[in-house]
Amino acid sequence: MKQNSKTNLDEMQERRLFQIEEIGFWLTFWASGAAVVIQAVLGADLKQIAGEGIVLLISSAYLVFATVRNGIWTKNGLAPTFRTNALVSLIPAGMCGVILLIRVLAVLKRPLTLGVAVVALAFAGVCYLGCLGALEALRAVYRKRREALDAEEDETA
Amino acid sequence: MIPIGRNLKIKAARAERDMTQKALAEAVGVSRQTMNAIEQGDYNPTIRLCRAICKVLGKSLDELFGEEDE
Repeated sequence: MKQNSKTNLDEMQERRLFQIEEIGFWLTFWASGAAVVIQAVLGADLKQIAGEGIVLLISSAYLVFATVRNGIWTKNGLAPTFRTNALVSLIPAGMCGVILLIRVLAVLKRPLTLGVAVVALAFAGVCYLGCLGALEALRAVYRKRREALDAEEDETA
Repeated sequence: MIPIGRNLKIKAARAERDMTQKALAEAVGVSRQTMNAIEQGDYNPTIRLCRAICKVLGKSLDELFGEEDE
């Protein structure tokens, strides 16, 4: 038995390091997400949130690519179904609608009118369809990948 | 997943050979911290490490890592 020559750590230390790195990653991920949402609510323009936005986009793209490629959907038991995707899409859609509404009311100082409410609702609707469409496309890719991984031949067969 | 308890069998096998935790850790190429965690049941080692421990202590996998009958 040898320690990992690249890291000079034994297997338990490596596993612990992975756990620490995982926590570090999620802290960065959610902190970047929170920074984007808070700045958006406070009226920052795209230039101001571009840095955090890019970090989030790159991390998300990597996560999506790596998990789907390995045939993993979620770790918290959410089933890859249309119903789940339809429900989960409500979260970002609702957030987009609320952020737009807050920006219009608090930053642009417009009164809450039926028109403003309709625009916020329409924006949330577009976000909902976008999220649902993206999740459904990913679900289709995940299914295919899952089938391909499960169909791999047993060496003893 | 089955929770792992303290592994007293490794400790006993070490004692038979008059080996310290540090000596066993060095023999299998891990830190003493890792060997201690295995004996305390805080870390579930890979089969590769289990086999290395068995080889050094002259025991079978079942003798050191087999489950106790209820």
